[in-house]
Amino acid sequence: MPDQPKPIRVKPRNLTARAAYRVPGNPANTRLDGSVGNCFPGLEMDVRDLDRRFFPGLVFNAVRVPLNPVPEAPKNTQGFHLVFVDYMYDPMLPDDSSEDWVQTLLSAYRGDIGTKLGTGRWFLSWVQQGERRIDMHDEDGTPYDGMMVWRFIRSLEAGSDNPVSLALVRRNHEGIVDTEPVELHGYRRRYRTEAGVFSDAYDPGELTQSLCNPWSHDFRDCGCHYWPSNHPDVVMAETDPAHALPTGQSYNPIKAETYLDWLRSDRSPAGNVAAFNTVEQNRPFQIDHYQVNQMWSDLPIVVEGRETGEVYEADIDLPDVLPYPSTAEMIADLRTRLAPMEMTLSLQYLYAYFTLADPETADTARWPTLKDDLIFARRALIEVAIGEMTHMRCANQLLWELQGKDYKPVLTPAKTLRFGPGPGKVYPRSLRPLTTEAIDDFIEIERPGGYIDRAYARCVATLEQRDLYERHLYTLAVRIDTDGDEHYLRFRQMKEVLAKYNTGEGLPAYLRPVEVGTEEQARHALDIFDNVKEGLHDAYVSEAGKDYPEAQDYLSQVRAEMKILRDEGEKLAADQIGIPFWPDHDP
Amino acid sequence: MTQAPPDLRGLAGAAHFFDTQHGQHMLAVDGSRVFDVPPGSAAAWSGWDAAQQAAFLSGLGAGDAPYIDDAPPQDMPVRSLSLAVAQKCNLACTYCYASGGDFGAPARNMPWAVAKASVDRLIAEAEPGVRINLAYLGGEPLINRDLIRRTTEYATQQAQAKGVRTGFSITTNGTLLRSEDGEFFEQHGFAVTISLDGIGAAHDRLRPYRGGRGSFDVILKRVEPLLARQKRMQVGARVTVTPQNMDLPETLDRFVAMGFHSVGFSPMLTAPNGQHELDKPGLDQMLAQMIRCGQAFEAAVIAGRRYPFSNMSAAMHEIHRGTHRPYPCGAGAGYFGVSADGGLFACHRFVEDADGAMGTVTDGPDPRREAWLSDRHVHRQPPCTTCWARYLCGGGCHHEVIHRGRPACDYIRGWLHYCLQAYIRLSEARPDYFGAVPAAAQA
Repeated sequence: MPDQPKPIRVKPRNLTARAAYRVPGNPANTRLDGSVGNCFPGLEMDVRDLDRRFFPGLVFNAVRVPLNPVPEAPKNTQGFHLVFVDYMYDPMLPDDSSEDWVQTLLSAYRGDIGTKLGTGRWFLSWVQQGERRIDMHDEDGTPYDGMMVWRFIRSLEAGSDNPVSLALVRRNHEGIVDTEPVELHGYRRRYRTEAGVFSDAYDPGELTQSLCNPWSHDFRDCGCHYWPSNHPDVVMAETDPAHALPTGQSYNPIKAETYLDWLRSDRSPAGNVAAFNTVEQNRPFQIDHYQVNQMWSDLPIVVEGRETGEVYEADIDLPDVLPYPSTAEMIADLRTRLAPMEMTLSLQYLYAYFTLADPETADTARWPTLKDDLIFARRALIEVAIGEMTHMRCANQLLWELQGKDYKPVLTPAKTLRFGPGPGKVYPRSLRPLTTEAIDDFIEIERPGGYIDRAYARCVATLEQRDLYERHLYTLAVRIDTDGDEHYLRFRQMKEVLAKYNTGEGLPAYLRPVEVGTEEQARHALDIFDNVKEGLHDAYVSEAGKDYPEAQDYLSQVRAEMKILRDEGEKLAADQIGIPFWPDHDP
Repeated sequence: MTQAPPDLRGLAGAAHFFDTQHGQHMLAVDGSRVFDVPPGSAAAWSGWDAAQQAAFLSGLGAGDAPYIDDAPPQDMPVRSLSLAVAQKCNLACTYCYASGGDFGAPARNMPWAVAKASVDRLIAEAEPGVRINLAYLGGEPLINRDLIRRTTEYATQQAQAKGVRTGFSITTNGTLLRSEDGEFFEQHGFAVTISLDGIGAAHDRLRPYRGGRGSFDVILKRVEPLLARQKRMQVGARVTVTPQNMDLPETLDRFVAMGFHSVGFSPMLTAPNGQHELDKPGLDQMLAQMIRCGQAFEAAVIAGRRYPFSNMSAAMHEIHRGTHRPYPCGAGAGYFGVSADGGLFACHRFVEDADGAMGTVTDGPDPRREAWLSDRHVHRQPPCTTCWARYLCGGGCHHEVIHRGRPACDYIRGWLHYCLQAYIRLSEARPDYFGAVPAAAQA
């Protein structure tokens, strides 16, 4: 396929060019129904703004009860506060209307009532539609919160057979009504025309005025999972790629791998101290609301979990990583080394998962945080184990794509693992509980720039050659390569969270006593495990042959078996038995 | 300072690249869209094959259909008529397309019946709210002053009755203007165009009386009261450029200073007797002179001064709008010329010319009009289909193309190339000139 011209950034200048240029964003005919309009507020508009003009000629604001009222502040400022009277261009109130109610309202606004509403603070006192009147205050006279009033206003019906009456009251500084109320009669506004277009009553910007801007005041409080304007909680510090050691590790691994609070207010090198585990703990050291407005541009861009400075170097190549000399050699390495390694890792992690204590039976009297930490550690560990299973599948996929009909599934775990810096060292595989030493090893296995990371870097470097390999093979290898960073982070978090339970006396409180059982003890679990392997074998073969429906059937079976295996593993662990995933275990 | 001459031809007519001090720019010919592009884009473009060029252009946002298709307009209502109210003239201009005013036919005045029929045709084809235009030409139209007045008043009255808006214009040599003409033109908001080919002797050489005497001083004396009077009326000067009157910047400056509402130049390309037609070196010289005028215009706009050089202001307006036209003008579509005896022709230049005859004003355009529109579409003009300037130019004046061909294409491309550059410069320096609010005023 010939290369398309690289995109050229152009700027449309004259009117035809501007009119034809497609700007990324919502098309002009976007309707509210298709937009993200909600009351959080949303992205395109805040629906609460529609009700500000529910009654012709009046504009309200929904005022909430202040969270921390100042003693000197005026009393009872909450409610539906009349901002101003705005009848001149109200499409419901044309000058030449023949409707009596329109002319009555117009002469009220133009006359004494308009003047009266122009002094002091006026609030909605009640609304009435049909037989029902809603008072906007408690039985003891305390005005409702503005958001509650807003919900009542939402319930009003529009239309010529649904007249609306309302009363406005003036409250003085002490919150006391100090003059006669004003009663008005009319109809609720129809916010949209038949065609779905907003009423002309709304000025440009009025429906969006309360939207949160991702970089404004409260951006500080946006959670990392608030999708419209999320920000990272913790990040790794910027490192200079020139300062990497020949092994690929940073010359200062502690600095390079310490998680910092992205919102830390001390942005000097001295402020680069490890973030605490909870938002609440980090709060005192973060930039404050008012500072966000000034400092937002100082907050660094974060790529791949790391702060970046002036220049982001995509894909920093590990030194000395060369492509395989031939496809055959890459296939051989994937078959004999990488795919088996992934299977060993996933089983080691799965085994360790079952050694974690049951959160429900945790000794919360002695360890108040244990239950939460166990929930976290179990979840994190099973995610990593599943990640390795996915890698095993990806390695197999690379093989079937490269080998074609010569492909045979690789579902045998490796007997040894090589990991550590540089060329690494060879370790025997081992099924063991998640002890401090085990976590340290797992961290070492997943460390960015370590031996395993570099193993996949070779695949990436090979598959990167566009003229030789299809692009999706490259992305597959990249995915395996970059997942390691996430696993590394998870194990480091586990280490940090679980360290406090290791008192040096006996089994840490987060573990349960589990030993690798005999084949006899774990017969049922091993049968299930065999089913899993068999199912995966058949699924991979089907997928390699592009029979996707059949592959899907096998995979569904495997998933069901995996669920059973998990239950069985828990049951055995409760009896202190670990599943012997491989027979040659050396205790 | 010498620069390599810009490439004004190539690139197969889909895009034209040009540079200014603000960088590189591109005219996407389809839709006359102007873009800023990064430096080196022109070189990249010329290295692409047709598919890659098409992919790039489609990335600029135009739709699937081209802005201009091959179909000629159908059944366009007649909106503008020019009346050859007097097919005779008191001057003897050396290059006159009307051969001294009579178009080579017996000299005569237009009778009332023809003028009335012309107004009736315009009114009949106009819906309320539409604007119709009547242009009085000749010959020298003021020879038949009474008819102009009667026709104008009749048209005003008929238009008012039907709720139609009117525009009147007259092109005159200025020698016969009277004070009461100014009053009448002001009353009806005329666009008055005075043919002036230079200052003093330069004008007199080209536009003498039949006896050979110069006309410049007489014209000035008669035009000045109109210039002073213009409010609704707009008095412009139109200069036909021949090898004899090439001092355009001086002419422009002088006429602007005199208070003309607009001053425009057009090259003498075709004369019935071949006299004073511009040849290639002449057109090159004119282009250089036009660019000097354009630079004066740019300086004036940047300084916030009105400088009514109409070629330039029209070009700036059209480039900004992205005007793209399949024809150079409305001839034969919404616009026709009416001869003294009521013949309908493609435009005022084609009066009494069989090549442009299209019926009579009483019966309206006949089928020859359809054939004309189909034939004259710029997509049907062989040299135009690969020219980047085709939708800005429209293919060149029909009258000149039919009678002399296209000797001025390089001149037109050179001028438009300069205008595109000037557009970039002015839209950078004075966005307010194009209707944008300047950044300072927004703050």
